[in-house]
Amino acid sequence: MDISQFIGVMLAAMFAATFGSMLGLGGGVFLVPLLTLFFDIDPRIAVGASAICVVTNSVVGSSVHIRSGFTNLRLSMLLQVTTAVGAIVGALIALRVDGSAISLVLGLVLLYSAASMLRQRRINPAPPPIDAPDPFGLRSSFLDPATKLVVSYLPSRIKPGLAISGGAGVLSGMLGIGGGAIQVPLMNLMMKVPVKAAAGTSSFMVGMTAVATAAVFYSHDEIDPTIVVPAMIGIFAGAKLGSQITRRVQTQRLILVFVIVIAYLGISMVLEAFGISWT
Amino acid sequence: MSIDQAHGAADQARLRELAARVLETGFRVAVIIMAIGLTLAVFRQEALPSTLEQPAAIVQGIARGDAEAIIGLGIISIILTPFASTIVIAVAFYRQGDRRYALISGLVLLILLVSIGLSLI
Repeated sequence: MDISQFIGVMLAAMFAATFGSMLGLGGGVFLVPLLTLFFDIDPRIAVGASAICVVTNSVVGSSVHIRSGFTNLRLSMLLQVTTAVGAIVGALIALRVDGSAISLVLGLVLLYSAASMLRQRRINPAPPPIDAPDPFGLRSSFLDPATKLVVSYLPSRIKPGLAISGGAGVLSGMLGIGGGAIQVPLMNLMMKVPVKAAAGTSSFMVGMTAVATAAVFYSHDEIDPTIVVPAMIGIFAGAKLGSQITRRVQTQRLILVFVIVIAYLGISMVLEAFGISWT
Repeated sequence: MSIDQAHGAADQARLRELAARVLETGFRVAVIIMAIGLTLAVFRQEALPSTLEQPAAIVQGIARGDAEAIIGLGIISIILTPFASTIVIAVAFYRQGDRRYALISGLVLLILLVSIGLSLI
């Protein structure tokens, strides 16, 4: 790898980490397309590198989110049960399919995520009453620094949430993404968790999910330090920046950024799967 | 706020602080190890390997002072950090008398262990 590619991968990872951390994603959903589309790296190697970067981004970013009270640790552990099982299954699938299939599935997942969040901007779902029964002990609250208000919430529809988290885990393992691109819309739209709490909870979860993926890729010698090392340096720089920005940015702007970037990358990956490159 | 609620809030705050500290420590350890490995690689003008070595080779390489083995240890340290934070959270839930979430966190740990175990087969 030459120095220009080293710096390029580092900057791509920094971008992925900043936006990923802002949005509660590991950044893999940005990093895999960036590495594949702009650096011509094999999707399987990109997935392995991304899994390590997602863990790194989660470790750095979620410590900030946890201290801010955005992360609901009980909810993250509960959803993680099915997500981690799914991630193992997904990683084993990824090692047996070819790169264009990974590109196509990732592209479709990105477009789905963008459409979900766009819908959320228009609907703004009503939260369930805070005094409703809480059989799973998941009621929580946090101080939103952007509005200076305490936001209390009670996650709802836990059982379907667990099932969909398992599916998110399969896609995470298959695509080297932490699954935040699915978990954040899931928690926000279906389980009625406020966006910042969904981002904080997801930020912690994606690290655990990506550990399962990274372990499987490591055992198959699909972790390439020439990609992973510059990417990790970029992640170190970008992750803390992103989680600091989240504290100050208005939620609606956060969602708009998410939708635009995700839609662009989604279209690019679908086209790439069919051999069409526009980047 | 009742006394029980105040205790619950204090427990939550302690749990959050503990989890955040484990993550920060894991991150710092990984950065230091990788910085040492990269500095050695630059000084010795060694290229980075295209495959991350398996654990036994990394241990042997560290004993020899190989830069690539030290970088490998840095990468593995960061992978193990969420695992360490999950252990700490499970223990903290148990100590706070929250048996249900101690058990759920333990189950998550078990699944992560299975994934690591599968990767070694």
